[in-house]
Amino acid sequence: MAYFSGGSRAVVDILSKFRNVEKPVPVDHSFCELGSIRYHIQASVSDQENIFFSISTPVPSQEEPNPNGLDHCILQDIRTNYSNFADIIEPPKDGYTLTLKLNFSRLTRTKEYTKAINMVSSLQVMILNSQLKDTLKNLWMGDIIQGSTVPLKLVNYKQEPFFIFRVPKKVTVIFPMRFKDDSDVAIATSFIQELADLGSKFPKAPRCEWSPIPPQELRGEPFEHLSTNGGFVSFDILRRHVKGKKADKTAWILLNFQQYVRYHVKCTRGSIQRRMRHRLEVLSEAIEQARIGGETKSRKEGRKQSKKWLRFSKSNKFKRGINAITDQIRRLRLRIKIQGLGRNHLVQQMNVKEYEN
Amino acid sequence: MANSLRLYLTCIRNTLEAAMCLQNFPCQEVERHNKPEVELKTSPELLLNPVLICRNEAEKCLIETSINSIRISMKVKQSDELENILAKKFLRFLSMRAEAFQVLRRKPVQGYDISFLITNYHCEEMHKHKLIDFIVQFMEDIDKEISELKLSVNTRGRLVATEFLKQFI
Amino acid sequence: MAAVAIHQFAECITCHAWSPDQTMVAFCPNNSEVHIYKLFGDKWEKMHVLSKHDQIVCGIDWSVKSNKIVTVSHDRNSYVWSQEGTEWDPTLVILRLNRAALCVQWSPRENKFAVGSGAKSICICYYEQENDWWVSKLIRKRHDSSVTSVAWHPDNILLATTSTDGKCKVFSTFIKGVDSKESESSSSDLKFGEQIAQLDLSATWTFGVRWSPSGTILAYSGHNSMIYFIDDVKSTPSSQSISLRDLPLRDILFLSDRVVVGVGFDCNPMIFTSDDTGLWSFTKYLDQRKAAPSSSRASQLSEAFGKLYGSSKQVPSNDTVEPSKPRGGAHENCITCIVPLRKRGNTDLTRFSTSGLDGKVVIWELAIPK
Repeated sequence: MAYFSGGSRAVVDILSKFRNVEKPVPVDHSFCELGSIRYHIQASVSDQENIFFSISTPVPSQEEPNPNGLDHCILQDIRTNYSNFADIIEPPKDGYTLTLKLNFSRLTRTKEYTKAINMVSSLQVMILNSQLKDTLKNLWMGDIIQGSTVPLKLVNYKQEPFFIFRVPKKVTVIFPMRFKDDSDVAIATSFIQELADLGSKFPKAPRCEWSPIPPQELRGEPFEHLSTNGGFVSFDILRRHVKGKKADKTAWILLNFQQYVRYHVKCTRGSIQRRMRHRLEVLSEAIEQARIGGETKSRKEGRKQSKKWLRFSKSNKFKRGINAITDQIRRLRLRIKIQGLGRNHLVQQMNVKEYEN
Repeated sequence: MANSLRLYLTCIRNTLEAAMCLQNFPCQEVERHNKPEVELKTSPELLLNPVLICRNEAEKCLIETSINSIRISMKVKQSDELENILAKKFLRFLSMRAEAFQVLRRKPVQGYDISFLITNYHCEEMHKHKLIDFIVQFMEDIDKEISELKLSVNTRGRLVATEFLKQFI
Repeated sequence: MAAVAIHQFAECITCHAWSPDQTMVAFCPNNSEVHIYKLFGDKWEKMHVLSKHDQIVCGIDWSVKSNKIVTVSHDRNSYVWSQEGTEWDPTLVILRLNRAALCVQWSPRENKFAVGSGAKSICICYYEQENDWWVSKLIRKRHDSSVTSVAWHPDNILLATTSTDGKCKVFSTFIKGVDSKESESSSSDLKFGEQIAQLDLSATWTFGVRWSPSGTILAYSGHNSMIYFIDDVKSTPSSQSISLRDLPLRDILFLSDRVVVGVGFDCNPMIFTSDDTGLWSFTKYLDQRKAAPSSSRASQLSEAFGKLYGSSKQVPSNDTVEPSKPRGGAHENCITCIVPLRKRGNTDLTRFSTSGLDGKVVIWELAIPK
């Protein structure tokens, strides 16, 4: 998804350095991201192949938190996904929720290696995703809370909380919507309105509703979680949404919902800005026309512009198309030439050295 | 509706045509100064009666005239929250670039969304009828732009919402 | 064709004046300078630039007999320029004003000139031989706002003024030692600065006051698009007012006791004439290129009002307002100044020139209806 870059850049950077190191150096990094996610990466000089990777993420407010930090199902998910290069160390390093022993030595191809690093870097997202998925599933299976309506608080990877609770026959996911300013709220409201309206056209999608006040079930949550400027969006998750493979997808979509809306708001702001700038140009041309002696000037400029535009639009596009092909050919040839040249050059240098000797 | 807008703008145009009879006039109160009297308002005899043209309660145009300057303030239609936000955004955007328009006042008169200040100097360097054309076009364009922006935001919202829901299938 | 010649001298002209022989024109190109151009064959060439003022020059008058130019400016000063050989020598006139000077006119005998100002007062200036300078005598506390225009009565004593408080006033400017008692029997009894008449006809600013050549009629214009004619100002004033269909006037000129030209924001000179009974009426626009513009515009307005009241069913296809048409006359912007062009030995005045914010000086010729 274009709007979503889940991985931690720092993790990618650090892990990439382990590849092709000439001299083993001790590595001991510990850093924080997005406020409450802590990472620790450790490798000793003697054992460069085994990297100890620890992560600490805020634990969702479940009734019975696992003493090890993470649920069995999540650990199971990690085991299946990361088995190629990682082992879970139990118990995790003190103060962290999860510790992995990474061993990339089996990954010989660069592609595999990069993929593995990216997977490690998005470990937190992965944890959140399986967390949400399991919560949804469990709520449906009813093996955590039997018909309880106490809402669960979860956070997405940007640390925005959202709530899940069960009512008879459905599970409701509530997103408190917060935005920077009024204009963002207005744009988002228009979007959510459309979302709610379109529901009937997509019977398979969860039903979506918007309300300016928090729903009954959230009374009793801390006030800071219930004060929003964009109201509350709720999705009704039915059993069919968490069946089998669907569960993964549903969890992923819901986890990214807030980001999705935010990205839409950002793009819409951009398009509004573009339109306004265009209108500004049109209007400032109108005032330029009113200037005595200004009409001839601007007319000339206009003609010039249109000429340029014409040239650009027709011939240049064409030329560019051809150029692209010829460029490629040239580049191919050049590479060969350069190689040849380089060799000759080397030979010459060697000859010179021989003479000097 | 469209016809009523035309009448509203025609009325503004005719009023401006009559009101925009400005001349160079030095300040009576301060030595060697020459300031727009409509802004100073120090000599009541140099001001004419302001004219208020209303299309409806939400849309109106106030034309204040003095001997060397004229101030035109307008209130733009804002039927809902989104239009209100877009109008505010757009007018602030334009006001911040007031230098591109010369006759645009950086801050609107209280109670209005956007104001123009035209002085005798503008009348000297611009064609009066084209200046009036510009003001009328500006008013028209703002109305048009705000409804187009609203439409575009809603259309985008619908498209993006469709894409979002498609993910579930 | 009413417009005989059109000369584009600058981008904007505040006022202009002609030399006695009408071969030279002095004007202010909307800055602190006065430019003098002379006609060689059919080409105008810049002869002199008078630059002593430091703010915009808003009044120029060129005396016919003594060949002196008087200029006033927003910088509160006035200069009298006299030609010494090929150069123009300035003499500063200390007006004793604390606000901008707005208008100036030589008296008919050219021994005095009057300056109207933004200090709500007027100055009467005269030359003192023994001290070799120009003395300014003020008429203070008579106006409630800026004096926009001054006009000398042919008797060299009475001065009419218009101001932005909407009044038109007539004063005596009799100065002992300058004006002789014998010449004008009736008005020489009056003291300097005495108010003869106050005309309170206009509701708003008044401009462009003028006396008729015989001195019996006074005319001025109001910003409410009115022109006023007053008979017998000194004894029993009786007034006529004509309200215009178009934009207000800025300046007026008597061609004779029965013909008046008005110029202003409509960019087209208007002719007013009086019939045998002395009744004044609007006759025509002088610029023929603008064929009946007032009627067309008036109809546009009435059409709009007609629609307002739902009488007209004609609905245009688009909702945009049609742009206003350019005027396409001799002048393209407000006319601010009108000056007579008097031929020597010829009593009838048929030629005059106008200048305006479009930077043109236009010469007009009119055949006076017999």
